[in-house]
Amino acid sequence: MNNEYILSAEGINKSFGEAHVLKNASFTLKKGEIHGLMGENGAGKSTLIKILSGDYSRDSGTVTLDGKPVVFNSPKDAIDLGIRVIHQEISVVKPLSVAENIFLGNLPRKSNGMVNWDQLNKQAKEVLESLGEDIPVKTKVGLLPIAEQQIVEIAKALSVSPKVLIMDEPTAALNDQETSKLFSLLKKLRDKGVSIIYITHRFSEVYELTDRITVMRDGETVATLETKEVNDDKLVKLMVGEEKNAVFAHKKIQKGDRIFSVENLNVEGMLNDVSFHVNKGEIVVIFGLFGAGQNELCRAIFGDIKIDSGDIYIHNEKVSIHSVKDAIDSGIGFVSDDRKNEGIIPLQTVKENISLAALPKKLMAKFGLIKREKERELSQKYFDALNVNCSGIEQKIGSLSGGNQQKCVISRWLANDAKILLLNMPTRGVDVAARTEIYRELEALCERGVAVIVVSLEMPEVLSISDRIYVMHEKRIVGELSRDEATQEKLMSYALGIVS
Amino acid sequence: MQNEQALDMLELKKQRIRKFQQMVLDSCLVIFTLAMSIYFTFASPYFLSIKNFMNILSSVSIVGIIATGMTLVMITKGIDLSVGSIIAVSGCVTALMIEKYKLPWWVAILAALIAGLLIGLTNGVLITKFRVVPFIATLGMMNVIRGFAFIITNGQAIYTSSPQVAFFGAGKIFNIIPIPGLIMMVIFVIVWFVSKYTIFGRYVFSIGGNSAASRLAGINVKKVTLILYTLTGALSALSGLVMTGLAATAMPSAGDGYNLDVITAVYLGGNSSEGGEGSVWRTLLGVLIIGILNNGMALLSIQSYWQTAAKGLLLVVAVIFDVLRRK
Repeated sequence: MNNEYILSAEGINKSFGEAHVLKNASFTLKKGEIHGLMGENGAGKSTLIKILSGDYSRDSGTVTLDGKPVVFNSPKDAIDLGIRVIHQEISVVKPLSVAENIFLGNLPRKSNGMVNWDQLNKQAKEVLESLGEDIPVKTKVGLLPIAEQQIVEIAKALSVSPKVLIMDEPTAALNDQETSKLFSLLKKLRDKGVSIIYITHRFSEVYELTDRITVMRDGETVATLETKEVNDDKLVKLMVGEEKNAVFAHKKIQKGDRIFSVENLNVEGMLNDVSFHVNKGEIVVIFGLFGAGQNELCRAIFGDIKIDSGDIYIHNEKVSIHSVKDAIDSGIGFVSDDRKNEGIIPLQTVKENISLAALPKKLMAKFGLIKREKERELSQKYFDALNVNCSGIEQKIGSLSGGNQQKCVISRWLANDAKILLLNMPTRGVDVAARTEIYRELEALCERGVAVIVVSLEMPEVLSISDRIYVMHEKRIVGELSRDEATQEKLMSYALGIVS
Repeated sequence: MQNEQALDMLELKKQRIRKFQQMVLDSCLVIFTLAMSIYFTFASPYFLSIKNFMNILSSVSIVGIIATGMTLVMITKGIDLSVGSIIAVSGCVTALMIEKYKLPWWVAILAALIAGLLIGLTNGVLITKFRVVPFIATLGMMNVIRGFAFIITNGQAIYTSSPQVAFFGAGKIFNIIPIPGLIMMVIFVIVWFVSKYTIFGRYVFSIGGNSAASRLAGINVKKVTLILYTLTGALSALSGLVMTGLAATAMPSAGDGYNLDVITAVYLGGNSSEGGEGSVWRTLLGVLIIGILNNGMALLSIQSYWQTAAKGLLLVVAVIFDVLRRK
């Protein structure tokens, strides 16, 4: 192999069950370069990184480090060979000191087995000094600002003199000043001969920092380019690829008046001046990269996150929502993206799961008793309407497939006559057949005058089911598109924040 | 689609197998109880009689009354360690008010029940408002109120001759049915009814099954939790009255270790150790197993140390069964 590469991967395949997440992916990293790795959510970046760092084993393909083929059976193997990863979430041990964190698992000892504190602190100081940093080594890491915690983490990675450093969106929690400081540190490391893989969604960072860029899409490596050859347009085109076929034929419904709107919603650190509305007869989709604020938006509307300022209107009437109960009483329903932890109650029956939210309003008899016959009828009605596939409403929901569980969770809000339905990634972990049925039900709801708001990360889904699309980028809505004007490229450009 | 269906059918089959296993394990418990009873019947001439059965009922009532509330608490994945101390406070408050302050019996009883209720409420506030985990919150309260019981009585047992209090513990209807046993059975029926037929009961199971999902379905998880601990506190106070009536004496050390007996009873009947499911009838079975075991061993004049060991062993076996069932 060409020995200008420190690390290279060829023909990597990886499947999880049915899902083929890496298809013949390849990647090369030159000695002493900073290499940007890009791609939309689910393109396979994280999986590739996990394979390169020994977190996952590959199904097929070769990885070559320093000219020698290598096999990692665990992250430790990769670390031992000089590959270190710094994940997006900082993983320092907060109650321990800076020095202890840097040499965690590798503390210098005296001959009697006790920690050699003097040597530890001295070595830690040396590592930090080599980075041009002056953080007191005896301070508890938890007391440091995030940016310095991250430096500790980098120092920890460098304490074993790695050949390859992998950084996964390290600037997500940093401000501009901290970011530029990190960049000069990374450039310094590069000049010392460390090779760096840098994952990010931010174009400006890629241009400023990297030497080469690899773009991934749908589990494949699309292209590797010199950074000076690329521009926004080219990158977006590479990331989204060909226009994909619609996954669902969404019929047009007669549009009507505005039935729901949110105005200037602000939540400190989570949402920035968000406004949008839904007209009768349309499905509104909120698109954006993962973590752009979609989840927070849903929860703020649903009363699960406290709103700092802003108004919510239902049928042009202002509603005040201070709790989940207020939201439900106003006719709002919310389907969480985390079905297992926030959706289903696995030990209870399908019937009980469907009726749960409707109990106080529709199924309460005297003395707080449940109207059992009515409960059965109500649950059966939605069980049939959404074509839930199982032995009946008395089956425990935990034993159903993802798609069928999701239908039940959606039914929970239909049973309570929700007028506004917020769905956060409703088809996550749902098979294709059930997806179509869910889309069809959303369409039917829309026709009945329910305001349907769907958060989705998948562009084919966005383009299939939406009538109007809002794109979020870093806690704010940056674009609004009708389905006819929307293309994958436009959506991605907004989501990446390169047009606004 | 085909695959999905096949998968769902497979799941259904698994569910049926689990149901069957559960039935087998449940029958094991009943068979064990019967076998134990048959053994005692042959070993002691006094065991098999209505009178003895009523004795058992009466003696388990103190644990049984509290165990109903504890079952609901444990369905929500909580625990209450303060119940034994509430027994003592309740008894001491009653006896002090009647004997020392010469207040009418009903005032004393009411005060004791309110004291239990308030202690339970405090547990609930600590857990929901201050977010102390139930184990720690109720462990703290257990010691605080045990200390309180010693403080108000100056560490002395208080004899009470009140016939009304005696009625709670030792009274009998038709000269045969013990009042405490009757109270226990009535409470079991009420708690069962509430847990099965009311919205509140449904919420208890939902919260235990998935607290976050329950919250997002609009359930006031904190309110339900608060009510459960308050209820358990009040029930513990009622048990305290029964105990005081039975002994005609209130002791600040009364009820020590009863928290563990109650928890044992809940598990022994085969209630889940992971919350979200369970039934007070299982708890009743657990209560009766302990009662029969204690009674039979006492009739055979086996030292009470053996009873303690046997209870511990049974608890461990019951939890192993629970784990097996879950697999």
